[in-house]
Amino acid sequence: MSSTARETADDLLAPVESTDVEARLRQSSRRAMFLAQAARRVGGSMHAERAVDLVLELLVPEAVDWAQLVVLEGGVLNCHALLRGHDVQRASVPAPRAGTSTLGRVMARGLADLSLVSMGSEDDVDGALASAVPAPELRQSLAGIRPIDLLVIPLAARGRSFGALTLARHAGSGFDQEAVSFLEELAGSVAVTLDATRTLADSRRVASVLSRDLAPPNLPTMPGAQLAAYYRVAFEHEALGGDFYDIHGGEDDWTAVVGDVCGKGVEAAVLTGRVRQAVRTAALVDRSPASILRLVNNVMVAEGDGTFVTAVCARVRRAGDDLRLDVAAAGHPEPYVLRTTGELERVSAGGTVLGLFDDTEYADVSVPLYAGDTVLFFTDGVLEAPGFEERFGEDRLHQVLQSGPRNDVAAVVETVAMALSDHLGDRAHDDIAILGVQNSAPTP
Amino acid sequence: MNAGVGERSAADYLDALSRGDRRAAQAVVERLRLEGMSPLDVMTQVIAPAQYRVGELWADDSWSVAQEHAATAVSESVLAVLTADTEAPGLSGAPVVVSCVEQEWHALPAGLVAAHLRAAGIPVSYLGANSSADQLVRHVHELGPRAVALSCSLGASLPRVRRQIEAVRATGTPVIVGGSAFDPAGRRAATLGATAYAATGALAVPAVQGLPRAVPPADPLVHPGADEAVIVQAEREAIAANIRRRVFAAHPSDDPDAETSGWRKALTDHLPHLVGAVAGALVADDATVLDDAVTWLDHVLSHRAAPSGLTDELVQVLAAELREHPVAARLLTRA
Repeated sequence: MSSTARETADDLLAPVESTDVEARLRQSSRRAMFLAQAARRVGGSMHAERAVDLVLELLVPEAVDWAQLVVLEGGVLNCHALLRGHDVQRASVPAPRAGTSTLGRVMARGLADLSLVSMGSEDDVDGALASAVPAPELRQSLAGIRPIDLLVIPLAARGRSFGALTLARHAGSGFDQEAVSFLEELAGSVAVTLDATRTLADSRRVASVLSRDLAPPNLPTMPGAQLAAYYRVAFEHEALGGDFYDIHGGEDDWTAVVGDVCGKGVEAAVLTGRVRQAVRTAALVDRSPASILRLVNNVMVAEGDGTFVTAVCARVRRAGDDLRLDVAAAGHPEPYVLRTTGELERVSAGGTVLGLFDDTEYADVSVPLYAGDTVLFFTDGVLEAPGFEERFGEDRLHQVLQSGPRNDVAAVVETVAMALSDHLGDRAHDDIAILGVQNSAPTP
Repeated sequence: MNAGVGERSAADYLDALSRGDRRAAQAVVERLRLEGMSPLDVMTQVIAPAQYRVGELWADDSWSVAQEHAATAVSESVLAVLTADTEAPGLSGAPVVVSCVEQEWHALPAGLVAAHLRAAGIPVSYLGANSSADQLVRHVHELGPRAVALSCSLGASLPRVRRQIEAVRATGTPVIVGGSAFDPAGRRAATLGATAYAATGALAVPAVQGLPRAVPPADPLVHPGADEAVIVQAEREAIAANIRRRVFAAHPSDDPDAETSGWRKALTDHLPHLVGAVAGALVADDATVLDDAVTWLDHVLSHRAAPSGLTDELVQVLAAELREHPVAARLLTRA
């Protein structure tokens, strides 16, 4: 241990004469600082295991020579221990029974336990230590500390002990009553934070399982075509949004859909999942985009929850060297076709927003995609992207597409994405989705 | 693998980039991989020199913006495949999150760092280019990483580096930085509050190994100019727009399309970066950040038939725009 760390430990935990007012004051302020630092450091991490490590690294070597933190999880006791100068070691053992070990007793009663494990045969010492340090491999790291003062403090939150903190110092360094009180206070504040990270980890796990289906899908491999997409959500900390794209099918008959549900964030993302599923189901009935949109609209109107969605749906079929596009739209920005010649065409498909009116009819518009041509579907988050002086807008999109690369769809999409990012700067924005499909048949 | 093979392939690769031909570029890389070249060597011997050359060709006005964008987009998609190739599923433990600073699109330095770390047996979670501060912090919360490695190529991005260092260090996680926006001695990195600095991708390995497990939150910046950096960064677009108006008014053109090409277009596109470099110099407390940006812009403008002395004029106009910010104004007098 460095002399500074030893001094700090002495400073924090050493008994001070009650008459030495100045020393007592110094120690009190050191302890207050240490508590504040603990709360800040451990509180910043919202990752359960890392928070455990931070607690251990805070205590060793600044306060004690060795520390163990155990957490009860589903009938298993997960043990983490740190000896100064080493890395955190981990082991799992069966949960202790309340009556049979120091750990079990401390956790059951919610009261700290201080013991001195004195010299004796190594087997006797090991047996005594096992009561507080059940994992044999973690006990080994204690071998250099004999005799040991061992303090076991419960970790409790929401009225229940969920673990314990075991602290070891060379006997003689000791824990006096004031030091124990201080460490109990520390354990109390650390316990609340650890409990919060565990709760957070649980809900994060639930969220990640649920969101897996809501995040944009990986693009499939489509023979004779290249695909590229860009997706950026308004609420980046949630990672989910109300824009969506999907492309499915097989052989040489595919369905692509890009859409935007009303609202943002998680609530909107849940609706995108339903719409994407409805499109997939409808495509099994009739592959015409107009029929798909009509069916999805009817489903949404029947559910009648007042939500609405804009979407553009396209059927993509191989016709020799060409791809044939049939496009229908529901209140959505019209897709662009970027020709290898540099011409830019808007596919003028128009129709009513999904989810508002019963029995709405949609119409398919047919467009050929020659070898090398690209069709670009996007949401209004692109056109509406706020800039310093004005929105991104159609003119800028035209200019970017016409002066940008044409022969690779990934490059086309990336160019638009880069221009958007420059335009947006640090401004808040709506959800953004772009999907490009290029006919990759060899250009004649 | 001898250097000759690398050079020839670099030429083939650049040729593919010049045509924006992703499949041809991918084919060059696949051939080298089949011949046994490691992803790391492909990155350093083929992609890095080619991308460097692309930057030069654009700066010299030999290539159009469209060509440069196409080439970069092709390299980015090739890199994504190569970086995925370096994944080592056997590695366990808390990973290092490797990312570019927000709003930067060049993933090469981050890809190199990821490859070096993985080759050294350190697990990596690779975010690549243009991940926002929110995304980065969300990853840190989810993964509890050992560290975050942040690459930054442009001086104008240094204020964003500072913001991301603050956000990551608030979680107790150490931050390593690297990339061409930093000086070789690591002074800028230290000023910004990075835990460590890696001058090259290979040096990221010892940098990670030497990191503390946990770090306290970043101290507030107190050097002269730190406050001005925040203001200039927040107002950089307005400042750039004013400068653009003043410079264009001083050099009128009869051609209605003048602003969509040549030096006027380059100036419009890059003025926000120049102003950003002022904020970068202020936040990193290093005037040479601005000098580098001015030198580079001078090179770009001079290859686009800009009137002589335009760069000096720009610096003067910029100084006038920033006259209420004494530290910034001093930087500009110096530049």
